[in-house]
This record gives sequence, structure tokens and C-alpha cells, in this order.
Amino acid sequence: MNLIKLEILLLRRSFIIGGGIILFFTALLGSLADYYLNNAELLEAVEQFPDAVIEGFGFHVSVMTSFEGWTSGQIYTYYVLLLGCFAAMWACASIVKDRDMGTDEFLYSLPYSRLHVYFSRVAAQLFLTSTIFLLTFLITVACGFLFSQIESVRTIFFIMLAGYFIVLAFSGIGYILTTLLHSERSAMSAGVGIVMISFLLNMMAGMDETVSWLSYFSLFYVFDTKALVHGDGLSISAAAATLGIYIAGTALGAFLFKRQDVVR
Amino acid sequence: MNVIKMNNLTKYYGKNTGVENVNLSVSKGDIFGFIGPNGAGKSTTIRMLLQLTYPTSGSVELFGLPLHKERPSLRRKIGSLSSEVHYYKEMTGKQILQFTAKSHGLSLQETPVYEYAERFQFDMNKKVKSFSLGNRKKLGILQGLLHEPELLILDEPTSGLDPLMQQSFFQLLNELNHHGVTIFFSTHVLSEVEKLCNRVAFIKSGKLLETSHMTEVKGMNERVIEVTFTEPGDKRKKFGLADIDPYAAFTQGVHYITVRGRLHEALQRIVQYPITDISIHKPTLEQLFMQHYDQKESDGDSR
Ligand SMILES: Nc1ncnc2c1ncn2[C@@H]1O[C@H](COP(=O)(O)OP(=O)(O)OP(=O)(O)O)[C@@H](O)[C@H]1O
Ligand SMILES: [Mg+2]
Repeated sequence: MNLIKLEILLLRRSFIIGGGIILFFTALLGSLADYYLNNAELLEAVEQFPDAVIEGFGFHVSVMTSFEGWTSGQIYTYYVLLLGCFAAMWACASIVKDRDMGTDEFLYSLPYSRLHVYFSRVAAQLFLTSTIFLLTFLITVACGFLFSQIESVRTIFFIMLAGYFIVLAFSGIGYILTTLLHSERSAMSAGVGIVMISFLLNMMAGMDETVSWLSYFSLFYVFDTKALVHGDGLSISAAAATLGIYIAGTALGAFLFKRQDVVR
Repeated sequence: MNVIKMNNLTKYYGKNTGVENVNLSVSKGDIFGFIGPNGAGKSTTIRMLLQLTYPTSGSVELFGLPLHKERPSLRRKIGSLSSEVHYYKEMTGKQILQFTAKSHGLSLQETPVYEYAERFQFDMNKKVKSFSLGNRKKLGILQGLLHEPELLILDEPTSGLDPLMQQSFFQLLNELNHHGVTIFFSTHVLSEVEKLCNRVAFIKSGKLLETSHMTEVKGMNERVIEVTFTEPGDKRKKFGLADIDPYAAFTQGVHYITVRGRLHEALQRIVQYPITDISIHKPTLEQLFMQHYDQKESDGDSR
């Protein structure tokens, strides 16, 4: 508990900034839903957007008929993008930040095992990420009830949960990288980088049939949010894939870190 | 009983050598000085003792337990201080100390930390980012000692402390030692070792040169006389200084004469002539090192 509290203390500022931005965007987009959904002209204009933009930013006009559709296209995209960046940054910095601050000699000469430190960090980050996920879900639902109509809270929950699983997968990749990086700054770049690459791959895949295979390398593509809007349940295989990346990444990171030298 | 035992301890950093084949043991109750110039391998050795790194080959034992696998609970018996002492900048000294106490399963009130803070005039309520190096070092001392460890492993503990604080710190170490605490510390300041240690090891370029009891350290009974005569120029021959020390040196108007025992005879000889300046001191660490080193080299050659 001591170590988990420490990690939360260390991430406090980043958590408040990240959480604030995400919740702000969610509330903004959520409150604007009806303005767009009832605006036929605007939707027509959106339909003329390049495919890549439609794919990347989730402007699927076909589902833009309900608040759930709006959530899957708009709120979802920004939430995965932003929370993904923050979670991946935290994960990438997990171990390397102490090397950067010079606090590693202090931390690892306490009577905690390396794995205890490592998994406490993972747990603390899981807690922070989950908190933002739950708050985003609650705010989305609240906006739906206040400014629009909600047909199925369950659908909205699944959409947000799908995003949460993707975010966890980004964290998993971050844990593999954290022992290999050399400074906190590079950890930040790497965190934002992996999310951006994934996002851009998905966007590029939408440009043309011939490059659609690119999306197979993008975590943004894993869940079919359009199907979720139509009432389908969460795809088991997609959930297994994203959680698999999270667990495997965490385990690999632990393995790499267990006997790593703490040197200046 | 050996509290620390190193067998052929070797650490390479890629192609760089950290230390090579270090054999050394520290007994319970020792105050052991580990002395060497920059880059000698002091920190490398200490990091292996603290399980921050693992040896390339050879082994270390603490309290008779080998460290080839991680032993976090052993660290409850060890107090350590790293040479650069960095802590989380946004936390206060007190938060760091509370965190440390908790890691040992203690509350701050159960520890001697308030007493030590008073002793070192340390204000623990400030944030770490406002600390000078000396204050960080004080925090390091408190943090390393609060769980009343049986063994202290300290990497250049006094660097950054002012002379007064150094003295308080040495006094504290002495008191702890009287209560049975074993102390292993690195330094490049010979006088610290002289004041405090009963045993000493010299290390240079990753190799242990010599381990001895303080009283047996060769050259410890030597004195270096630095003298400037009123009459200018090299007077080694004219004043018969070579009879005192055949290797007497002369640079920039100063004569350097090393004497072993018989200090009064040497001085009688020197004061026959008018002097503008004279000082007598113990050999510097550098000079002792060179002697050890030259000796080892020539021993090697003659074989
Ligand atoms: N992380 C590292 N990578 C490569 N070489 C290293 C590393 N750390 C130490 N070394 C090398 O190992 C040798 C011993 O270094 P170490 O830090 O143990 O010296 P030291 O005796 O503590 O010196 P100082 O008095 O400067 O603290 C040096 O030659 C150094 O260059
Ligand atoms: Mg050092």
C-alpha cells in the first residue's frame, strides 16, 4: 500500500491534468450531441469528408442517429486517444522515472523486492486509469440524459469498456518499453508515440482499400464500435486480445526489470 | 563472524571494468574504510552489496547469506546512503522519512529520527526540491539510520557536509559502533579513515590493492616536511637533505622530505639553516597510494 500511495502521489499532477482534459472533452462533446444529431446539413457535410478522416475520427454518419452512435464516434475516439496517451506515458515512465530522478538507489535499497515495486506501480496506474474510465462513462451517461436521449446505458458502457481495454493494451506495451528507455522525457515521447502511431495507422487504413490491412496493426481497430451501437455485445476475441497484450506486456516488463542493474 | 564477505567479486559494465576479483571480508563490529580515487570501483562494490546490481562473476555474502538472488528482507538489517542522495522533489523530508519507516514496518515515532534531526539541525518539513546537497545528505543519513540497522553501508557519506556536521556524523557513527553496529564506508579522504576506522582497504582501477588493520597501514607513521629555505635554489646536496631522505624532492622552491620515525633528527638537521616556511604533515592519500602502487608493480617485476 505504501508503494501504491507513493506512485499515486508521483502521478497526482499528471492524473489531474489528464483526467481534467478527458472529462472536459467528454462533457463538451456530450452536451453538443443533439446539436449535431439534429443538424441534417452538418451531417451531409461530414459525409463529404475524406474516408481517412471519417475512419480516424469516427464520423460514421450511418450511426449518427442516436446518442449511442454519437458516443461511439465522437466521445469514444477522443477518450481512447487521450486516456491512451496518458496511460501509455505513465506505463512507459514506471521504472525509468526513478533512474532519471536518481531516486532509484533510494527506492531499491528499501526492503521491497523489485517485483513488489513494479507491480505496485502497475496497480496504482490501473487504479488511476480505471477511475478516469468510470468517470468518463458516468459523465457520458449524465450528458445523454441531460442533453439528449439514451436508449441503452448498457451500449454506452460497452463502448467505454472497449475503449478502456484498448487503453490497457497501450499500457501493456508501455511496460515492455519502460525498462529499455533512458529518461522520463523519452518515456513521454514513447507513450504518446505508440498511441499516435496506432491512431494514424487506423486513419491511413481508411484512405483506400489497398492499404486497409494497415488497420490490423492498430489497436483502434480491434473493437467494432458500429456493431456495439447496433446492440451487439462486446467481442470476446477483441477483449481477449487487448487484455492479452496488457497482461503479456506487464509480465514481460516484470521479467526484464527483475534483474536489471541500477546504475548511474 | 563475517558480516560482509566478497569472493572474487567482479563486475563489468559491457567492456568497462567496474571491479575485478575483489576478496574482502568485514567482521562484526568493524568500522571498515574503503578508500580509493575517483573511478576506483567503490560505488560499484557498494551497489552489489545493496543488490542494486548483480556481479558478473564471484559472489557476495551478507550475514552469511549469498546475494545471488534478491533478499529484500535482509535490507531491514542494513542502513545505506548513496553517494548522490536523490529523493522525490515534491515530497517533504518528513514524507520521505515516513515512507521509509513504513517500508520497515515502523511508524516515525518509533524511530530515533527526531533525535537525529535535532542533532544535525535538520528541518524535515521542507520540500526536497528546496534542499541543498548538504541537506539532502542529512536527509539521507536520517533515512538510512532510522530503522536502527546492524550494518551500515555508506558511499561517501560526508561529501557535501560541512566540517561541523561531518564531526557530528562521525560521533554518531562511533556511538552506533559502540552499540555493535558494523560500518562499511567508502571515501577518498584519508583523514576520515584515520579518525574512524579500525580496518581499511585500498582500491584502485577496480583492483583491491591492500586490506589491513589501521595500525599496520604502511606509511601511516610517515611525515612529510615541506620546507623553503631563505637561501634560494635546490639545497638538497648542500644541506645534506639526501641523508635524511634519499628521494627528497625539490619543486618550485620547496623541498619535500619524507621521514619515517626520527623526526627530531631530521628537524635538527633542517633548522641549522635559515627557513622562510616549513610545514609538517602526514602523507596525502595520493602519496600513500603511489607507494602502494609502486610497491605492487615492482613486486610484480621482480618475480
Ligand atoms: N554505468 C556504468 N557504465 C559503464 N561504466 C561504468 C558504469 N558505472 C561505473 N562504471 C565504471 O566503473 C569504474 C568504477 O566506477 P565507480 O563508480 O564504482 O567508481 P567510484 O570508486 O565510486 O568513484 P567515485 O569516487 O568517482 O565515486 C569506473 O571506471 C567507471 O567508469
Ligand atoms: Mg562513487
